[in-house]
Amino acid sequence: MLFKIAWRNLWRNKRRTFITMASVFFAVLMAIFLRSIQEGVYDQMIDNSVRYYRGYVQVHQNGYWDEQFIDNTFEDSPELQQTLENEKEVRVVTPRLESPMMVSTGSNSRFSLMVGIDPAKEDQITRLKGRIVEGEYLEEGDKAIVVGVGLAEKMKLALGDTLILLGQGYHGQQSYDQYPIKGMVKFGSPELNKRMVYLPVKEAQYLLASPDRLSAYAMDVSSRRVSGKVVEQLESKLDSGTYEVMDWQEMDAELLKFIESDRAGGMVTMFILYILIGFGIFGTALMMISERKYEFGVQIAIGMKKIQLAYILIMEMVFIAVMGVLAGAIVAIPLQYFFHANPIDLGKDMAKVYESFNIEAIIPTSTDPSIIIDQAVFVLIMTLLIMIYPISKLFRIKPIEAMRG
Amino acid sequence: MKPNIVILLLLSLIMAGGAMAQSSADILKTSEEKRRGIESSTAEMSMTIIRPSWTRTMSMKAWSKGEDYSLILITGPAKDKGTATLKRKKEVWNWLPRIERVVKLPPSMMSQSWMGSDLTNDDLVREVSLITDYDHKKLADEVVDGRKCWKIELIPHDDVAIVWGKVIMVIDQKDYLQLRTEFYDEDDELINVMKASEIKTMGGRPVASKLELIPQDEEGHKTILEYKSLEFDKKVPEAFFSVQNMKRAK
Repeated sequence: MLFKIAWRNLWRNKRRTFITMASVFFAVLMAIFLRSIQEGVYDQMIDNSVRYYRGYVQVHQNGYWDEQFIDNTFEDSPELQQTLENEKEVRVVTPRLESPMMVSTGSNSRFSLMVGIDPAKEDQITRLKGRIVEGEYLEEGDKAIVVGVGLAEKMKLALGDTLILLGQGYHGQQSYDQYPIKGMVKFGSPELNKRMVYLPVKEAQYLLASPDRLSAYAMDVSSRRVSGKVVEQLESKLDSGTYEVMDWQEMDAELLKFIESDRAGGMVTMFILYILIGFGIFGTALMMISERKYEFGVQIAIGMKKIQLAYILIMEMVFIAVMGVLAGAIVAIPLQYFFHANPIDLGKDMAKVYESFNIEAIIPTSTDPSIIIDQAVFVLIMTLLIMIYPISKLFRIKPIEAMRG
Repeated sequence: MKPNIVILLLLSLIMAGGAMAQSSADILKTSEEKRRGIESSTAEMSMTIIRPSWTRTMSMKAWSKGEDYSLILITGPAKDKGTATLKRKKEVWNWLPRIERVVKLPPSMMSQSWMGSDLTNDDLVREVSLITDYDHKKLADEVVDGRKCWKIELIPHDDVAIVWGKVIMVIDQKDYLQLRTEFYDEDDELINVMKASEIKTMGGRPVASKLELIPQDEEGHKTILEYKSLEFDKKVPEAFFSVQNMKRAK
């Protein structure tokens, strides 16, 4: 009964209802869209690091992560590889030997990160082959390198040019050799573009005078969520004095910390947006009470209980909020998916600015449904909180004054 | 300038006599000249890198001419033989014999380890002058290995690119040997200690034939340089220190 009255009340003054609903609608749409972009950029940053480079889980020699140095590598063993491959949630296991090295044309030199890879398996994890923009991908047994496009650009290198790799090998040995450039890869992250030099792992081991040694086994797991579980299981199977097992959250702790603090900053913006919406709803609710003072006066005078009236009013506001939120969400979902598939390209000028933050100047949206749910729940709770003041006003209504007013 | 032996001898006599009255800058200047030769020096030495889990020894030959030119040639082990590092004024090159290529080191590589040791490229080719790039202050004398020493504090000038915040050198008063050098960072924390010992007569003068560089923050790390022979002020033409000659040096 009361429910029905509330519903009818809404449509008695359609314009007021629509205006309020519209304010909720735009607020929700805006909030969802902003959050989607924000989360989308975070996802992209994580992808750039985790999916395109590190992999979700890695095994190193114990202590390697804190001191990433060629002497802290481990000796490869078939048993270790077998143990990792046998793990249920692990999809692919790939060996890597990484070391910072100087790359040089003789007169021009730069720092780089040399990564020895198993070309076929690496591609299964990081899709490296698909990132080749010029030349060809590595094959096992090649005595050649693939470099990031940023590095090639900075050093004015072309395919087929010979590059000298120079650095410190195993146990302090001087390591150097020269390799032709077979291909160039392009990553989302400008940092990776400028830094990466890939070599087949056997050649890297030879170069660093560290036969059979690896800095890591990188693994791809069936989904991001199980990486923690895989770490736990591997830790129980491997000797913890010899090996350390880490998932992307541990390896990318710095990135995650950055995201967390940035998200907190984003919350402030969202909070301001919510205050704006809140006052909109608050204004409407107050207006609703004062406009309908006479009506309430009559209703109370003929015996309607104030509590019932309050219930009707709250129902009205909840209807408005729910419909506004629903409409906002319904419009937001296709937008989320559209901009996820067609990320906003900020263009060349912005690219430079974003590059300094090591972010691609392409903004995809996240399609995480929890964003919508969070916003919806938040707006509803806020609506209910806002109703406290107008309702308390309702309880102070004196029928005679109200009807005269 | 041709060094005149007689004048030199006289000079050192006068200096030795008036040792107490010398300024820090004079002490450093004499000490550096004794270490490096006034004109040039040629040395054969070995370098041992000590790490907790391994040690490695290399043998090498080194030529230097004043502060501006030096050439170091690795003579062993076989794998590294022929590798050379050349310094000409502010530029540094490496010769990589296995691939027959010359690589010019960028300034960003200067702080990197040289041949895997505790020495950096920068230590090797030190561009700065102990005498003109630092302010000096004499501290209380000290006795090291039974030798009376001056202790001099060196604070780098603000406009000079020196990684150290402070250097303390302990110099023997008799032979001007740099028996101990302590390197402090800008927070006044001791980073490296260079110790000199085993004083022998080489190239006609007393020389500390063993140098140990001990980084303070890494346990079990050490680099030892040992001189096998030293010659001073042999005629070495400037052209010797050229990229072309680096490939041929023996």
